[in-house]
Amino acid sequence: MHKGSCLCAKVHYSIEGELSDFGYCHCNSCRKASGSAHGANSGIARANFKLSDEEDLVREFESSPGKFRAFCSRCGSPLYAYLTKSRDLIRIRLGSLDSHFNKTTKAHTFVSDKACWESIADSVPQFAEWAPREVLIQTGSKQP
Amino acid sequence: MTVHNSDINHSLEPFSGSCLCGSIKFEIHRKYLNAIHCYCGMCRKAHGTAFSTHALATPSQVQWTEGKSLLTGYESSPGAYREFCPVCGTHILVHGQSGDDSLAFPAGTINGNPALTILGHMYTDDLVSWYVINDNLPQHHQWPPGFGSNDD
Ligand SMILES: [Zn+2]
Ligand SMILES: [Zn+2]
Ligand SMILES: [Zn+2]
Ligand SMILES: [Zn+2]
Repeated sequence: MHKGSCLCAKVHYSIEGELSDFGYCHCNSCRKASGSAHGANSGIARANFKLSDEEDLVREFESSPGKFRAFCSRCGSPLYAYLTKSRDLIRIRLGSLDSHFNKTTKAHTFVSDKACWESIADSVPQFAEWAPREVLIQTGSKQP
Repeated sequence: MTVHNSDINHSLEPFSGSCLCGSIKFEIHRKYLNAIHCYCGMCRKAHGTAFSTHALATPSQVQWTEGKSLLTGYESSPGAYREFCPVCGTHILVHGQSGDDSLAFPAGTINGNPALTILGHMYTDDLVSWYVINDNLPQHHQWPPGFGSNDD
């Protein structure tokens, strides 16, 4: 069970069950979308995700064909993303969580795109692109 | 804290950046950029990740080359504004946060591989359990006094 919200707190969500494992994705779109060094996203079945958006503030941006990123239009907080081909799964932006999340990252992915100003000094495995599925399954992503 | 890394980025090319969809574009005209990682809860929400990385500039160094009128502000604490793109949601600017006129650019929005100098970490008391700081850079409880006030 998790709870999350956007920065302005007008949009809330709750999650039944546990989120999937996660990696830090250093790809160019994760960096642009987050404005940060990497994205950190976990998957969950949409059926286990309950959105409360009374003022209809959530907007979706199609960042590549069939990939939609949902954010609060009042404060800009990224909340989740999904692919139209796997619409029943969504990927939560971990920064939006309000509840404690006690998983740790399984992989650094797309380190070939990593910004030179970010140093990775931990011992978590690094992959030039996607992590193999035996290391990390990125539920709801385009992972091959 | 005045840091002059005069050996970095002597080229006349400005730093350039944009949001994910490219509707908003900026240039920062300075020789180098200093930045700091922030772990505060507001940055976490605004960026959707464990921390944000703020690169500092002064207004005279910044040119909005596209979409300035699109900037959508959210006042996240009194006098501090976080501006984002209404089309794609990318947070692209923070201002008013340090009590001076400095502008903070989320470093992920800067194109290419900019030679930023990371000066340290702030609001580390708010760090989440799912991220670990693994370098030896200085850690500050709050905005370090003087950070961002250096002009070049
Ligand atoms: Zn909001
Ligand atoms: Zn990515
Ligand atoms: Zn945009
Ligand atoms: Zn912050």
